[in-house]
Amino acid sequence: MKTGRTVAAILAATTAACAADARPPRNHVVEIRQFSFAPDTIDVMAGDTIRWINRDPVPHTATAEDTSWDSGRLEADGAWVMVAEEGSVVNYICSYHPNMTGLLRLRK
Amino acid sequence: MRRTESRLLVTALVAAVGVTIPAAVRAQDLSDPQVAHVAVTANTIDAELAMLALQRAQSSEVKAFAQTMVDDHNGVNKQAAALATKLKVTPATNDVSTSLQKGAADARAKLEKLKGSAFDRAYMTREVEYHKAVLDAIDNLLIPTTQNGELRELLKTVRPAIAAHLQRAQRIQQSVAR
Repeated sequence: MKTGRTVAAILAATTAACAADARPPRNHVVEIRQFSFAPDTIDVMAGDTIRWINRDPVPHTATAEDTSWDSGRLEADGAWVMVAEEGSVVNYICSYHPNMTGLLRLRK
Repeated sequence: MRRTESRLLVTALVAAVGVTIPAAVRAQDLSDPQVAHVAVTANTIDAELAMLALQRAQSSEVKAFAQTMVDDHNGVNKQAAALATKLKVTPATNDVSTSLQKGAADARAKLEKLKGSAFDRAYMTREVEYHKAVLDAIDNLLIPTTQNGELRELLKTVRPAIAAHLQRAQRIQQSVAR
């Protein structure tokens, strides 16, 4: 009986975890402000949408260090949207100001 | 900040861009309208020199850097102009900004004689030294001297840009020296 209760508990926990994983895609916003990405680290799942908005008076980019994606030039108040995919776990920078760094962490 | 420290920092800033500090500046801190004029002048100088670099530079990396200087310094100046209008502050010409302009004219005259890789190396060396001096002045002169909170905040906002420019300039300087 004890074993049965344990298995049931594991199954229940697994079911709950699966339900959590099956959540609908979420929208994330990263503001570029005062020459930094805010927040500088975000946890996303495949299918989530990330929107970068440039609040600075000068152009910026959001560019993967491995060059797998690049917003291109974002003018003041400009925005760029990307849908996270498998393999989106990367460090990224502003190519104009390489000391600006951010991180996308893909959760499974 | 003590005036002696302020005087030394102004001297360092101006010396870094190749001119001497006028005696009149040594005896006083800058007023807010004067700080605003120094900031606008410093931005304008670097944007204008970058325009020259866009015409003369050989390296694509140097050209890209110059384009960022045009974009950023003009962008910051637009923000500064908007703030000055809001605060009803008229940037006031002063001995520091006049000296900066003279130093910039001298630097431009030297750079205009160069082309190709020699221009790239001289321009990047100038940019490294200029941004070091401006960063030091922001930290130790302009921000501590400024009385108006919004103007001080603008200077704080600009600081990361100057730090980013310096870091990128140093990297490119090493690249074009090879």
